[in-house]
Amino acid sequence: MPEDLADVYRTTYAALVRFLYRKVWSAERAEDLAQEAFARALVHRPDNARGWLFVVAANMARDDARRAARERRHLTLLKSEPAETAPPPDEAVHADAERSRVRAALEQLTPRDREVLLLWDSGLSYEEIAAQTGLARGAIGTTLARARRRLVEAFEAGGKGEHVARG
Amino acid sequence: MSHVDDGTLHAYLDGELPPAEARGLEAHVAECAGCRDRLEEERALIARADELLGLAAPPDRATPPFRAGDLKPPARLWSQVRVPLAWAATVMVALGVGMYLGSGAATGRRDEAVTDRPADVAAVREPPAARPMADTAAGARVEPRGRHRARSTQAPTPSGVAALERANAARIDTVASVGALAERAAPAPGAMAVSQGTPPAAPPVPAPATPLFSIDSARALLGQDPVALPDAPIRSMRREPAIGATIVVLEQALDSATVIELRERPAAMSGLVAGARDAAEERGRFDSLAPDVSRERAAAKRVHWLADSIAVSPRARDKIVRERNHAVLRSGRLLVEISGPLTADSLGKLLETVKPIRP
Repeated sequence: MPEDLADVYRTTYAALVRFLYRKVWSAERAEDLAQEAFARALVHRPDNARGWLFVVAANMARDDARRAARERRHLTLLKSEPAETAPPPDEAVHADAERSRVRAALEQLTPRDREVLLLWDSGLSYEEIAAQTGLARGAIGTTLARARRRLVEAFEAGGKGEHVARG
Repeated sequence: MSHVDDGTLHAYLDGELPPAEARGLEAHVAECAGCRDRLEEERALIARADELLGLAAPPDRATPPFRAGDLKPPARLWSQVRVPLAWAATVMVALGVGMYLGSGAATGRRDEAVTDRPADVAAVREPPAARPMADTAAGARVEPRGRHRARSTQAPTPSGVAALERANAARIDTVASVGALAERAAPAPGAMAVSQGTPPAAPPVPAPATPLFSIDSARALLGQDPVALPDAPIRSMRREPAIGATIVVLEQALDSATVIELRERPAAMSGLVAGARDAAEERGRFDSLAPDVSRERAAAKRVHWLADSIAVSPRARDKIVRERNHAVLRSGRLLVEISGPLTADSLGKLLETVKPIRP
């Protein structure tokens, strides 16, 4: 791996996994996709490797989600985390439930709001998010404000009622 | 300044507001209690959103080493195989040179070829190297060119030693440079002849490249069954090209340390030969294929007569035993020469026991 891409790998890998995890909801899958994104970067040698990686990762996650959706058609959103082989301890169950609520809340955002929020959470700057999403730089703050509010509202609402996935 | 919108507040809290705007915002918030409250609200919202996203974070794991093997970029395939291929080619070339030299040259001459090699290769390479030097340095042009010409006019001089050296060099160059071979071979056709095929100067050293072949092939070549010592296993059978005929060479092991060689050829090829005297002459004809060892064999022959006629001391006999002796016998239409690390009379007696190999 060339030196510059190796640096990007060190600084961006974890953020890319974090970004991908909120899309595929499997740590292993997220890591695999991140690795694949870097492998593609080795071939394409993009000028802005960091931004390029997130674009490629987003596309891969979308393809992955489509494939997964075909495979598991009748799955509730709240139960979609793969079952553990051993019965998890209570804290793990609780963490899983929290994660599922966050996931459900994220699902209620518009795709654009969600994308901006996840990119920001992965460490991208407004400038990078604007380049990534095609939004004006001045619109990023507004979009983030809306996305955060909706996320928190959806999460609180999800805690009160029972949320079952469509389909 | 008017009241601040949510987007600007978030950008400010995210540290993404340009410095000038940030200063303006701070000035406004200092005066406007409403905006100050909203700023704190948004700060709490951001903290809460970050907290929620943290709940849905992947397990914190160390960044693994990059698994480059996951995806083999097809575009890089050639660069990946290029170096191994180059090595393979180098090994093949080295093997080719080794087999070629091994099949042809006598040990002594092989050494000569090796020692000559760097000088010869340098001689081949120097002219192209001298040319750009001559072209770039106009003032120095005359001298290098003149030297180059002197070298090239010197090259075709068909002096015996030079021709041999050239032949050796040409053999090496067949691998390194076909052009160099043509350049060298053209002014020295004799050298070319030496470099091709089995050199006349080469002794009948068993050639590793010479293919082993079957008794049927030997039969076809000799026009009759080849002969061999009964009760001795045949270690190998091969043929060896010779002028005007092909010699069938059999190796037979008498015991673990003693291997004799039977060299057979149709006697008709050599004209009318009969008896030991003619056989000796015939051996000379065999030897003519290998002038280098003919002296050695002549010496051995002298010892052979000595051993036959006079009772020699044990020490002298030891000496005879250590050398490879020869005996020649005409068996039917075959002329058979036996050689091995035995006394000549032993070989002679052995030779009398040869029997045709029946299918």
